[in-house]
Amino acid sequence: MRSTEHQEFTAALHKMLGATDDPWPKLADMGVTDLDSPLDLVVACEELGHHAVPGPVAESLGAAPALLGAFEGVATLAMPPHLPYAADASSADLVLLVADGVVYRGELGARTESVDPSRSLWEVRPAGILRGEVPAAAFEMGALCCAAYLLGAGQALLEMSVRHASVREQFGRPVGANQAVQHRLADVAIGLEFARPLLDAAALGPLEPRDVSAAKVACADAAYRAARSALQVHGAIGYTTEHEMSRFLLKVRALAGAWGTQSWHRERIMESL
Amino acid sequence: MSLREEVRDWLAEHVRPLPSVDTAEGFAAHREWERELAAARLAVITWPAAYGGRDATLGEWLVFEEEYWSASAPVRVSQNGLFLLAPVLFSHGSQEQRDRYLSAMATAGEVWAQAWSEPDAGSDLASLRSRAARTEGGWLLSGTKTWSTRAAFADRAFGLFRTDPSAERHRGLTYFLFDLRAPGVTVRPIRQLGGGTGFAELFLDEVFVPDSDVVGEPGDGWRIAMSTAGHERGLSLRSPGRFLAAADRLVSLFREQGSPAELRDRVVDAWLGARAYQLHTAEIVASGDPPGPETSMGKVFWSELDVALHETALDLLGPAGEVAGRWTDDYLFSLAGPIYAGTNEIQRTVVARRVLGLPA
Repeated sequence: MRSTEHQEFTAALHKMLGATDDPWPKLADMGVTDLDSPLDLVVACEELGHHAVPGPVAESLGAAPALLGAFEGVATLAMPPHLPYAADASSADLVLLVADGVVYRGELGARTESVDPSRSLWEVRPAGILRGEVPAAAFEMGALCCAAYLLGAGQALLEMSVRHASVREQFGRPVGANQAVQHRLADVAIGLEFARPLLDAAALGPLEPRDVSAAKVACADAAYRAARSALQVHGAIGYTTEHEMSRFLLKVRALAGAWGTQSWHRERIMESL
Repeated sequence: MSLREEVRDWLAEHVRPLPSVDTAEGFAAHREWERELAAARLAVITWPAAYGGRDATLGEWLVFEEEYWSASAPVRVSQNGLFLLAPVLFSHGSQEQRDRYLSAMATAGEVWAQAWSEPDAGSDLASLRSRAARTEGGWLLSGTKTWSTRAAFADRAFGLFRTDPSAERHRGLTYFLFDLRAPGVTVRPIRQLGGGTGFAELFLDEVFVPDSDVVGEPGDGWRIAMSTAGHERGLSLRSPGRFLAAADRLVSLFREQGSPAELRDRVVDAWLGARAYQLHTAEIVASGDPPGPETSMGKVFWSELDVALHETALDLLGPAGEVAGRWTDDYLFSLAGPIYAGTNEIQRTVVARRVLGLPA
């Protein structure tokens, strides 16, 4: 259950993100980079996903503080095998490599392109040990923030689909008046509605790997279903970079396999039962 | 002792397999089970003490249900009355009706059947044609009702009848309570997919009902019935405990069958669905909001979860999946879920138009 404060915080973030092209400095101003309660972070990351904010959100807000404590600026990291590349490392203030049971400072290697053009992927080499152990909470926080971001992106995709289907007319009526379209979007809404309780439950208690995996599986599946339906409902305009929907679609595709694939998380759930 | 412990201990001591509720012998055994539950004041814990309850909260009821399903306790033969009619009597019934019917319902002294659908009025319930004509001191009911759950052996029924033949659709309908053994009532049990007679067709020929068995005002039946439809789609009919217990049994079956990798994801997803439904329900209960169009999302979710879970169980059993038993019984039962209480197609349309605001 989210509090009134959470709802007000979401509204304030929504307003700020709608009015800027460079959100990261403002996120620090609003205190988003200093949040440490998992539920507060989930609420924030969901709204960042709702706006498809570019940059290493789960890395910088979720995982890095759990690895190093407070830091200035934007952090990103590679954590093989789940995160073989550091996302958006060229613009980050701090690049980490989590491997061999330690946290290294990372040195940038070659750049690789992501299916999401707003995201860049970097190979990272170790360049000195920053911490001789890896707190388990770092991965869980990253995965949880990634799940929240995906849920927010999925919600945005549903909202775009409803808007488009309500105004786009064919055969003399809105395409959203057709049951085939209505039922598809109803299923998207149901998927998102029943993913959110799993996300909040994972964030509320002590971080349990099984709960985090449940949140990631449900949110990524629901967001991906929202993305596929959004593309179908938008038709050809959705297949172009001229419509903002495509930005969300590719973001969801890129993040669906980040911070643990769906199959890896399902296996982790099964092992815990 | 906590409620959870009390319920668990009592069930551990009393639960036993009963013959099918769709036989005369089984129906009587299920009545006796309800009587025992009521004697332990466990039949209707959310009701006021005056009618056999404990004034328990919905949160406590969820705990009761988790234990009930986890213990594989018997199907509630009084389910239609307890979960569909009782909320209506509490909110729209007269004091006299509550006093006459609720205690007998709680002990299964009287078992109620629902009488909603008609041969030509299913999802489009407002097109129903059964009628009630004015007579001295009451009404005469005539027409055909069908898919009437538990009616083969039940005592009484509740449903909608047209009291104003000139009114269209939702208007001119009245909510009646009637005696299934009254002169003019013929009950024809219908054999369901699983072979049992879980429901029946009712033929009514000028069945007398006194004014005291009209719920609310004549003509106000649609509004009153829709308040129970919300209950049927939402919380009351399908408590999360049912799916949590089934998901736990599915995980056990998966291991017994040697953990076949190709079915792992479906087992995990069934478990996840049950957990999501549990958490979602707890949020609704905690919010205290009355059921709205969002209940349509829950109805689609739990009914599809139920089918998928049981299909996965049968696939886990492999060639032995066709052997009749608990899993096939529960599978056949699950297949009805996407149809009753408003088909899932109707529910998706409700979600699209009333939750998402898509154009009609």
